[in-house]
Amino acid sequence: MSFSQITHRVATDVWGFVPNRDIKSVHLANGLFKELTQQVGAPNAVQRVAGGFLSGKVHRRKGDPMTTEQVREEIREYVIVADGGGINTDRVEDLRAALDAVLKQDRAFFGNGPFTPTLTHRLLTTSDPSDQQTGWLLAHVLFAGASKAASALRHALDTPTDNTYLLASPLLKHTDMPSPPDPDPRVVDRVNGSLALRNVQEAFETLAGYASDLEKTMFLQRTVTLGSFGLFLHLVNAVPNDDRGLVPILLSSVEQESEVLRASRDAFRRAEQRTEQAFEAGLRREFERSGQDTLKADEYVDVARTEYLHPDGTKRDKRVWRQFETDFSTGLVESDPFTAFVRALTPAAFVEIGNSSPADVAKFIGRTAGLVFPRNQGRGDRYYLPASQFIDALVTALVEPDEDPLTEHAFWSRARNRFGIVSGALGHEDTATLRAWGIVAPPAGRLAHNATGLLHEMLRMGHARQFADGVALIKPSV
Amino acid sequence: MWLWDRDPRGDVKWLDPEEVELYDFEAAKRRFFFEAERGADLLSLLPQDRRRFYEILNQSSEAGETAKADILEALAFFYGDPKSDEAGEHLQIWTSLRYEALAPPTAFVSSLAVPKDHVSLRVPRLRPQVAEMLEYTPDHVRLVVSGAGGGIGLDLDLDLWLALMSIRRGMPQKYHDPVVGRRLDDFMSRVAAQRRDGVKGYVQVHVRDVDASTTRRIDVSVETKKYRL
Repeated sequence: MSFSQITHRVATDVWGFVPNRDIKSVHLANGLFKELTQQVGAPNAVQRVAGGFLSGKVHRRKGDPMTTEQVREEIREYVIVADGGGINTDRVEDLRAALDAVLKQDRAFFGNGPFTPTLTHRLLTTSDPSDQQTGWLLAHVLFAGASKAASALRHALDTPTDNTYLLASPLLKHTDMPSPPDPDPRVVDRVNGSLALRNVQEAFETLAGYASDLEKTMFLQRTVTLGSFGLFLHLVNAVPNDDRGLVPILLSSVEQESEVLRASRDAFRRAEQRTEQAFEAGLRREFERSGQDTLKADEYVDVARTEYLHPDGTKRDKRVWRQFETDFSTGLVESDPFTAFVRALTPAAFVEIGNSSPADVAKFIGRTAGLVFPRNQGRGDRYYLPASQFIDALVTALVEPDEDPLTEHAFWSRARNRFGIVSGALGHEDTATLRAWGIVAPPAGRLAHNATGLLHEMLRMGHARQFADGVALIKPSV
Repeated sequence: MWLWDRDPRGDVKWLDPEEVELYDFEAAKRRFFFEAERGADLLSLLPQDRRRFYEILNQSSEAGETAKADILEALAFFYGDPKSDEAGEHLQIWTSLRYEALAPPTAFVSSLAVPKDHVSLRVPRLRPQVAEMLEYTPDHVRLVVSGAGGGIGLDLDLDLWLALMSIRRGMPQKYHDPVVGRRLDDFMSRVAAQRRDGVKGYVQVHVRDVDASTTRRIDVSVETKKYRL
């Protein structure tokens, strides 16, 4: 078995998907919607007409870019000409530009090759595999739940009322929606063994209660934000036999205190480490299964050189090899050869998966969910700073639609229990949570101030109300 | 208490000159803000947008009508189609969708418009039965789009009002506070959800490309699923 096959197998075994830095939110949406509706749409005409139009990288036919005149002929059957004359070329260009502007917003709608538009309907799903099975996994997590979430989403994805669908509908192939499948037994087992996935499942059931109150596209957006966050939680909480619960996520408010910021960065580093450790544990199991857990140090170096890595390969291969050698020799000082081998091979495995590190994957998914900041690419320490899109999803994932508004304490207790989120509103409890994970907790006053900042954001967004006695109650404004 | 805010039981204390100065200043400030004969004129000292907001809270429906027009205009500016022939005559209902939370949406789409007559601006008031018992000063006005269940409302507090007025004066869309955008999007999407059913015939879909600052209009038939180009 090649190293690439091993790494993919281990990742699938640990998480049920292969963590890849390029899994965008819209890819998750595409994979999730496809599996929920058991259907791949056929928006190929949409791609031919509009893909890459605004950037000039339009669809190519026999090697040549499609011209507007060709597009005009292509769409003739979808057009009614008002006055019986010809189709106005300027109007065709307007249509191409309008479709591209709407569908390219998530940076995955291209003129050629696999593509995923910013989709709102089952008929806009594509065969693009870029979600790396994350959509499939999440869909079966929902199927395995109380089913309210899966039903609500299927209904929304079959509803032909939103503007994006309306704009693209003439170019879509209209078919009926198949019945939902039974939940995959492997996912059911995975959910039963994962606190994070069980909690994500519950959160989706709560969100589904708002389906009738939310406009369709808002409901879909919150679903995908929650789904991305759910993947993040699953990614960083996959270490087996850890009785400390979920890794803490210390949300900082916009008015950042330096101590809180530092602790939030530490918390994010813990999450990165847990991702790495989960993969290490999986790799260990894999080598134990294949009987490669009792070799001597020099034998491991030989195995790495001959079977897994390529010291004489490309520039990247050489860099990976040097990193392995350094990590392995350092690891031998403090652990046995097998442990040192597994640890040293883990970064190389992530390069093999997607030319990225566990940190990159956690960063990417966290950024697109509106949780991890800074949200642009590049170097620099990350921390948790929720975007308004994230807060919207969080509030509707925690407060049931038919329950009374929650006090601040009740809300953040639920956030901590369900997602490991720490705000500072729970005082000593939050301090204890951070300390349990070896994070230097900020002074109590700083944490309390941070919680006030988060509450202020929710007040501004209409999700909280504060009364004259200082008591604040939290309930989604929807 | 304003005239004597020290402990009346205490001995008379001689103040330092600096303390006397501060005391005099506090007294003058108090008289200026709370005891002035033409206290209402103090509002004129406020910046124009703030003053306008407080006038709307305190005044008649006439102020509300002008304010409504200003708000509709600001919304047209926010969604980037202020030069439309019909801007100000109706409330265009824009929706947007971007799954990534990395940045705001770069396109807005609209296929609905609500006539101006169906939109009103309301100031919260207490019921007459309790108005004499409680002192109440509203801190927001509500823009209401009529419809089932009392309609859909957008609560405009001072923050949102100031943001809308800066939008109306031309502040570019990308510099807005994301929370302001989110509140407006939320309102628009609720109106869109309420009025979506029953749309028939040809619908003109407006697509605003924020990056290019252009708006395109495409006619689509809901029933036959064809474009009219």
